[in-house]
Amino acid sequence: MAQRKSLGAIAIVAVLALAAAACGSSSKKTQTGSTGTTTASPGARGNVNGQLVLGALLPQSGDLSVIYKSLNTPVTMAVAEINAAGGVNGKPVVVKSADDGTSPTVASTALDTLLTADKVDAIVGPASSGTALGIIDKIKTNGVVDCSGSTTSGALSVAGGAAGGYFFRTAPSDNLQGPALAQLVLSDNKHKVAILTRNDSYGTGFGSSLSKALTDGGADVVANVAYDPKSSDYRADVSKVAGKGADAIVVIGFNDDGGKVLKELIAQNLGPKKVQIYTADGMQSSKLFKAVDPSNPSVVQGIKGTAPAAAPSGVTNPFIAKFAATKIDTIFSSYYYDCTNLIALAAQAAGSDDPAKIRDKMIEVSSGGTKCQNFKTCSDLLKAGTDIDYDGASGPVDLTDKHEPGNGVYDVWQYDAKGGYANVPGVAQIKING
Amino acid sequence: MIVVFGLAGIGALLGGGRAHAATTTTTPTTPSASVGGTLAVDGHPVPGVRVTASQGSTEVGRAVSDQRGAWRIRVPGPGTYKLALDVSTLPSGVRAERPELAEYRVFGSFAQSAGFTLTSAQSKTSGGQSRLDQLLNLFVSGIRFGLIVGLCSVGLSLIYGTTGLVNFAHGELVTFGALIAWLMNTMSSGPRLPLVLATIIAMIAAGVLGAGLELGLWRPLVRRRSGASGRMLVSIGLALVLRYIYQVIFKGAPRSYREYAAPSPVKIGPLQSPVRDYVIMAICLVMLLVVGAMLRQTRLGTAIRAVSDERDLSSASGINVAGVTLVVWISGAMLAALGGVMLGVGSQGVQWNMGFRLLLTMFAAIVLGGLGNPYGAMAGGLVVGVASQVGTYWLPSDLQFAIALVILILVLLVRPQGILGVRERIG
Repeated sequence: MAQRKSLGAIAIVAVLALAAAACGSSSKKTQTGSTGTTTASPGARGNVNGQLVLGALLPQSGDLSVIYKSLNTPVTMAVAEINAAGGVNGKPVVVKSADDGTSPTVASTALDTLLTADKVDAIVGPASSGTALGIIDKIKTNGVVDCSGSTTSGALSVAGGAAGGYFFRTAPSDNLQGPALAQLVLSDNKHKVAILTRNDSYGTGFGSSLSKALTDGGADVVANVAYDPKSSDYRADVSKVAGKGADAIVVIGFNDDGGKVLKELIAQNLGPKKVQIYTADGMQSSKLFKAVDPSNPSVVQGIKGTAPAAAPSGVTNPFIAKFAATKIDTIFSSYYYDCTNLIALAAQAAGSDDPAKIRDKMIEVSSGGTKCQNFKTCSDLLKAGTDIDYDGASGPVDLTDKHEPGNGVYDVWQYDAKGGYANVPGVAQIKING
Repeated sequence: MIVVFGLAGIGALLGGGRAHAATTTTTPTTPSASVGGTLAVDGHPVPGVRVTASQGSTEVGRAVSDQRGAWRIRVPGPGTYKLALDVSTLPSGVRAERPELAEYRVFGSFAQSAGFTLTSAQSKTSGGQSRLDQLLNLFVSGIRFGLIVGLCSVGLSLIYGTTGLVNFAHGELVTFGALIAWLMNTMSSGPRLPLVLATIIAMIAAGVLGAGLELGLWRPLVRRRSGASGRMLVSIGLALVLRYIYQVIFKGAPRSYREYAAPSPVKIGPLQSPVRDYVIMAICLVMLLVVGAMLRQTRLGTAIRAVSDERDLSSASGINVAGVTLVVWISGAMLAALGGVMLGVGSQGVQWNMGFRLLLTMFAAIVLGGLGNPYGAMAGGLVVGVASQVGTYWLPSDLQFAIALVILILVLLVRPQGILGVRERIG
């Protein structure tokens, strides 16, 4: 009998574990978190005290932790410049760091700390769209300005801005990057395309925008597989592509899960040496090869992709050269620099660190007025009563009523034999008008 | 108004198709917006084919493909156009898959590309695997996965058999082996031993950990008369502690061993797998057979089976039950560690929670095969492995482990004792 009893116990625990796993995976797909039932009215947190406090909610851990420095360093650099220029409204800007964990649950807890303990007025981050969508309700109910430089999911494109207008982003929507990547694939004369996407709002959103642009452009999308980023085994997902005779494979994922998919593609004779593989910003990292084969950096050689341009041609912002000198991967760096400057300028224009007032000035300082490129020049103009148009390192950053840039400029890049990446020489950036 | 972008168009195509890209201009009606492509069938260019672009019923431009199959049409600016390939201008025997692209969008003012796929009677319809080949490959990969699961869960089954403990921390023993091997093999500040040597060290380390857990935790708990469910809860706690220690030390990212990380496959008939995968299968199979033979043939094995069947009676008949339990812990942990390395050397890599992810599958395997029976773990592992892989041929791969668990439920409805389990005597 004892044996039968514990068999039952195993069954119960196993069912509970499964249920928990199921909840975990479905919450990734939900568009809005269920958080934020508290009735804290905006501004009632005691954060409005004249000093601008920024929370850097960025991936210190999780699937995107490999690009943490690329996102965090620009924030630090921008704040140093702002404080050297006398700060915002006469007081230095303070930065509080927190981990978004590349996960809505981790980010939600971190956000609580930022809001209640650190009393931040505005947040820079989080890095991924899935994370942002998971905390969007909490941002809205607590009324805190949020600017992300790397969330690109189309699901965040909302008229009037997501989170009741508190959410902004400087990175263009994947509704624009899908067509850009489709154009790259078509220009290489590839007509039978298989798509593997991470099953979250970044992957599937990108996948559907890409798939539509490819089909409209004359290519045949022979497979469009959404894989579970937490899966232990990608054999089955890749098998669904293996039988299709594709002449190009697009992998839309992040570093960690994408690396595993690449390993499996190689094992099934569909590696970069056999089939042209394309990817995008989520897998642009000089550490990607380590997730595939740590002793062979050339394993990723030849993989091509698009990414929001870190240095759009024609942009002369001195930050680009300054950041290049740090030797950190440039991915999204300019977009975070611009987010930080925009928040500071909006607070300066509002003459307050009240998030609601900052929110109302964000679009105004980003577009229409006297052009300026850094915090010092811009804030001097503001102090003189001039309407400004901040032109940042990532482009003109003219935010639309969806609180995002209307146009997307994309680099066309490629991995080399050393596992690093560089823009493909002779190929210009792709500019997609929204 | 035939616009053929002779050399300039070809140059643009050779240069990746966007030498014309104007990234600094923002006016939407800049004249540099154009659309083009290269027409080819079976690798040969197709010249002389007419393509027209129109908006509504108004034709806005047309082009004829040149000697290299290239065509390019200037368009007024961003917007939606209809691109049509005139099939009457195609050479005989050549067919266009989709001669009309009704919703072609011009996004900006650069040299865009459009694709017309041409086929002839000689064209191969598919360069991919046939259905049967795919099924066979999934089957083999299921056997590989099943053997690894079997290897990992033999210890889980034996520990349950001899001590009655449902060890939820068994997955962490799997992870432990994989991580120690990674430290020895790959970490840049580590000794960077060959993987074979690193695996042996990992197994020894896991054996020490297994012995330590038995002597330092489980034996004292039993001595204090802790019940089966109490110890099960302790194992859940232990699993959490170990797992998050791994995460703190090794961080969240998956890692690969520096050897055999991404080998190319070899083709044997319809089968296509890297040699590595066959070696993994051979190692797992040999280890499982050795364990089985030892349980049958040796005195120690007989003692383990005796304790497993009747703990109190074995104790009374002079078997050193404590000693047997210790041996089971050590060998079970070593097998789990080996299984962990076998799992980590495959595509999924080494990660802090890899054993936890496998835990449910291991439970399914041992319950399916028959609790406490080491052959059962092997048989159950194979059923779960093959079902979870082959099932994805028809079903979404997200369901792969759901398939295995449905089979588990069905088998238990028919044979509650599992495939190889012996019906319990009542009374």
